[in-house]
Amino acid sequence: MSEPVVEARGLVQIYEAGTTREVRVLRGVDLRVLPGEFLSVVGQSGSGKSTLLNVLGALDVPTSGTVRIDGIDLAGLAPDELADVRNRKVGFIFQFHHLLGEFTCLENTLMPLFLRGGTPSKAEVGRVKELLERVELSDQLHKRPSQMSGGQQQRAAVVRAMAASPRLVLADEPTGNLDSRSGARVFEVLRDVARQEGVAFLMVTHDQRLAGQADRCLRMEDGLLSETACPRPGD
Amino acid sequence: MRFEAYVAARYLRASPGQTFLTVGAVAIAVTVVVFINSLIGGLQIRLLRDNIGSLPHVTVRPAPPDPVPLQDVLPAEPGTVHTSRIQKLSEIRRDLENPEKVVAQLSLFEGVTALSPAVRGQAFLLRGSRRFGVTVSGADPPRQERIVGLQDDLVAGRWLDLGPDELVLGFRLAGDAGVGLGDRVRLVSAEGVTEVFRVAGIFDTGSNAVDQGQVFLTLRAAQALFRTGRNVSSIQMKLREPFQADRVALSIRSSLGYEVDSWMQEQAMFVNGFRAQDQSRMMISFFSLLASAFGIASVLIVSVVRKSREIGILKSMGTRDRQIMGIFTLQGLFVSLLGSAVGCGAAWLLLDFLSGIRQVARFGKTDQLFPVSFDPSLFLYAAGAAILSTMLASLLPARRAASMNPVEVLRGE
Ligand SMILES: Nc1ncnc2c1ncn2[C@@H]1O[C@H](COP(=O)(O)OP(=O)(O)OP(=O)(O)O)[C@@H](O)[C@H]1O
Ligand SMILES: [Mg+2]
Repeated sequence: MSEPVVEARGLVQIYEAGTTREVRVLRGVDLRVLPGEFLSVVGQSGSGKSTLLNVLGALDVPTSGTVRIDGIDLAGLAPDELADVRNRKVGFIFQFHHLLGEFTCLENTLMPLFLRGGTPSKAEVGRVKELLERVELSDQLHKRPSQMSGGQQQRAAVVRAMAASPRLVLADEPTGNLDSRSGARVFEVLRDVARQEGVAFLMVTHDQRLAGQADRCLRMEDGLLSETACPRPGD
Repeated sequence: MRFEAYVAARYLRASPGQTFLTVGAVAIAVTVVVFINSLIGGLQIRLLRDNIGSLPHVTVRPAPPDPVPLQDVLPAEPGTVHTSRIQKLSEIRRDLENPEKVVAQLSLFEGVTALSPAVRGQAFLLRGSRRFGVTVSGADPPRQERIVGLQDDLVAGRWLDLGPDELVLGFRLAGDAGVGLGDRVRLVSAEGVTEVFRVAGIFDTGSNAVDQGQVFLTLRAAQALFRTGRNVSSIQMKLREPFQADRVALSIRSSLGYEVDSWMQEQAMFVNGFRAQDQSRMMISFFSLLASAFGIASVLIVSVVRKSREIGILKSMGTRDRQIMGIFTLQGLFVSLLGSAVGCGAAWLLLDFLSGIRQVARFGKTDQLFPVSFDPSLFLYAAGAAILSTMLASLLPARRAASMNPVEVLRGE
């Protein structure tokens, strides 16, 4: 059995700790995700789904608990080391504000590679271009985000999350502002690439149909994560 | 650094209006700094030339014999008290012995560019039955030239190859006495020596006192006229840096014990005025740079706030805090480099234009109306100061960008 890509134990996240406005968002979350596994997370608004993704993706530091990504314990890493983990191991897809406005579609998708300092290799650029083709953006390479539709921008953001060959992709309602048809299309590409490359894939979604296609379905409730039966078509 | 430069350059290109304004702010500051300093610097050079060009920076004379209290001279007798009042001796002619040895000693002091042993004294210039009181200055002309620079003021005749039986005098004195080139005049010194000299040159220094009352001879002739033998009355010095005169004078006095005068003590008012000009040009430069730095800091702060979501996205992709800082400080660097180049160019054009404006000066010659001093190092200093202040100004917004919490800026829409 292969090593888990993500292993979280006893994650607790408390905001404004010690004040009267204290919010206990995560109350002890455990999670293991294996390579190539695709998980969906559902839960009410404000239940802590985004908080969980941020903690898993080394973007936020939990109040307590441990996170290991690809065997690396995030606790005790310096800010620069956390940044490197985000760059090499994690790809984020957010619901809104996806792209950098001053760069073209292709430049945006190559950005995680650029920021490592060098020029991306031919192979890396080729891979990104192929991904862009799979989400039907080949004719948009040199357009600015302002010249692209919302759906095209979101597809570019998906490609960017995959560009640096991460081990873990965290998507926070990635299809939230897409119509259901193109949402499904983006989702398929994501799932296929994740399976092919053995990427662990965690997606927060309100879309029952998308959630139903996951390998495992999780529910966020009262600060705890529990496994639920996936809503299968026909239910 | 390549990534930071890539993003910074793109940000600058993407908002040309903002870039234009910030580059303009730096350029104006650099232009003001170069312009003000060139103009005031040029005026100061002219002022220095006109006011102290014909003065030695430092004058060395023999030390006055120190008066000694009476009790040091009289044998101590028990029961007697001597009271004495110490009075400086004055008006005793004192001469420096062995001037070339003193010159050799003095030439070792730092920043000394010229030395000229001189004999000065009072004399009467006789022409027919008329007498004119004059100050006689005797020195080796080529050496003296490096101290007072008569050659440029010469309106007729020669000076540098003056013979021992020749003199040069001011055009006012020549007019008063009715003498011209080649005429003979008689000088009678306070020591009672009379010598005849031929007028070899006439000068116009622009200073009435000199033009009316000063006569220049060779050192030999003056030594004979004042009976000093091989001695001289003073050694005049020029320094590379006129404002070092007080310091040099002090160190000569304390190490060699001579009586030493500096032009700065004698022209204290001038020195004060000069210092005030220096301070005002420093203030103007400082505040110009400060204003531009504040402008750039505020523009960059606005741009950091406007870009906070993009900064959050960059961080989520693994951009390090230092890289985020680099993006914004590099914007400051680009702006300051471009602004400095534009500012230096503009200042150069402005100075070139101003220095071309002529005014009519003495003897029908023309002179610059604005005596601009074209100092290339000034451009470098101004650009360096602008780059430094802009970089400092961009540090605050850059740190603010680097310290943004990505979770906070990315939350919600
Ligand atoms: N910095 C913070 N300070 C205080 N409370 C916070 C902070 N960040 C998040 N919260 C609170 O934590 C809770 C969980 O927020 P989170 O964004 O994770 O919810 P979510 O499940 O993603 O909701 P949605 O479906 O609406 O996106 C919310 O009640 C929110 O108000
Ligand atoms: Mg959320």
